[in-house]
Amino acid sequence: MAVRKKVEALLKLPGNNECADCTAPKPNWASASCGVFVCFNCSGLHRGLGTHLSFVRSVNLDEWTEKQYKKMKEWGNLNANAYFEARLDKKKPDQHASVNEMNRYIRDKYEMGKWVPDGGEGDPRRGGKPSRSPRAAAPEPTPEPRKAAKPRVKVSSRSKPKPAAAPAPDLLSFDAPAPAAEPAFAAFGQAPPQQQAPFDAFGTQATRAAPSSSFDAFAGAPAAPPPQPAPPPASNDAILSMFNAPPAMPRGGPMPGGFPMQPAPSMPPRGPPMGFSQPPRPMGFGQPPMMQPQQGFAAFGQARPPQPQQGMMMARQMPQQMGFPPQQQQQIGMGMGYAPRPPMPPQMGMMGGGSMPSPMMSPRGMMSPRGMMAPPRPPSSMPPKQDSMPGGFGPNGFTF
Amino acid sequence: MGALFSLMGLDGWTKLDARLCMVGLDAAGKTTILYKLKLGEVVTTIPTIGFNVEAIEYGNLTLTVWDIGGQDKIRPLWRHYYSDTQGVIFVVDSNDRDRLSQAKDELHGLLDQFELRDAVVLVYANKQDLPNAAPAAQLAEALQLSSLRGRKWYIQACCATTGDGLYEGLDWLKENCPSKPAS
Repeated sequence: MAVRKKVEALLKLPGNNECADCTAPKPNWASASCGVFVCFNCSGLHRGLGTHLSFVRSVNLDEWTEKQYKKMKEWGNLNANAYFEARLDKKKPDQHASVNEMNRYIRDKYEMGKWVPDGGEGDPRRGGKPSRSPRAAAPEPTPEPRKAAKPRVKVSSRSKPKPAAAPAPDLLSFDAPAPAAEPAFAAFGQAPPQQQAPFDAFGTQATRAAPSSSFDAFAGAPAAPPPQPAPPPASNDAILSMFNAPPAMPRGGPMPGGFPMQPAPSMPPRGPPMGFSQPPRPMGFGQPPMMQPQQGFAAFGQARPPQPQQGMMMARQMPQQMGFPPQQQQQIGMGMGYAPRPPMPPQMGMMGGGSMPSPMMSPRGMMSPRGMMAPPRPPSSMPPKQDSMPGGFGPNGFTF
Repeated sequence: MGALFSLMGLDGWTKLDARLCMVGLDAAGKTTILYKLKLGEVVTTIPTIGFNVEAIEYGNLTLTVWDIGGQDKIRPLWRHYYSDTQGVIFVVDSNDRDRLSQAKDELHGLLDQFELRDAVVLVYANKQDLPNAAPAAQLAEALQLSSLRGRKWYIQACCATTGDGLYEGLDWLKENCPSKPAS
């Protein structure tokens, strides 16, 4: 728990307040292997890479190990992007980009390593170290950018720095604007604790009566004043931060079905961290979309809607279908605990946002024809079924 | 009843229902499997915070599959979905060898639940297309499936994105999962 809190605190550092891939504000997920904080939607794409390329964790919903925390602290978005985007020569997609575009970008970035420095030295996933830690060296940053800037004037922008000794890291600092800018940020970044302190204090006095917990609230929701600046006492702030802080809610259907309300009361004592126990925030179904225009579909089944605009479209077109009809919602909500027989087929579809018939989905592009998750893999690359899936087997041995 | 229909040659005709819970560690591929079965398509998923549920028709059997989020902190909520469940689909990321023992603990933990005492277990050894995927036999060992006494289980290698192996798993369920005549 403590570790998770520490990870949460990292979100306040410069660079970590937006998604490393799509720059959406307030990322709440992370790739613990790549050392980046990403938004909810991008976390889904990262998961598609496989854990050998990107091991995705939720800041709020997963347990963190000390080792993972250290990596996040060591890298973070600035450092990791300085590596993964060292040679990025085009504008990166933003949060409004299509899922396909984002997916391509993320695969290029983390799977193909298209923009990593020459040789791919220093990959966080292979135990590399950041070329420069913005936090490690406070005074250093100032001289360094000048150093880097000088040769740029003399030498033509592409050519390597004259000093023969300059290895990859130096090259990096030339090619990428990021590292050059980084120290400046870092210097800036040094301050936050102090700088924020007055701000917090201000916030505390101005808006809240409970000083101690309000500080926590700010910790939970790093960048901007939280939408609902009323933090309940400490134990609940994890809950709040789950629902308020992450871009998840507004952005996409993080709450497909939502956890039933029923389980909440019966949750074991460790329940609180998960927020489901807050009945008044049922994230689910019929709830009128707490969505923002671009990123709708919040309330529904998730697999379906990952595409922002489409989700919205669905919401506009068929509010009825998407949400649970009230009775059903109730039924489910109460039911889960004691296992209601879910309503059968016709209604079934509506659960979990599920029921859109597939034809409606495909044109929207959020589901791709098979290849999308693993584009370059033609079906044939799976060896014949018999080889790769030797069937399954049960206690009595293999069966085919 | 089943025997009677069987005698009458009607057993392929009766509509049957079964309720299944699909669980597993986060990012194992549960949601992808669910929608591959439901829609025949690979959807772009996002982490499931909560659940998805779909009715999947397979022959005369309608499987109501509850796909439940697998993040560390929401796993304790799985148990709220267990009652009246005839089968468990446990999905494992075959490529994520570091977490196999964690997966094993979760699997055995859930099978200790009273409500699942009669449930059959289908283990999908997913992501067989990835480079470092462990074969089903090795996973069976890692998950200590053989220590499950008095339990019907089956492990099926699969790849949710191509669909390979998924229906083989359903075939087993069809034969082994207790089902009820559709209401």
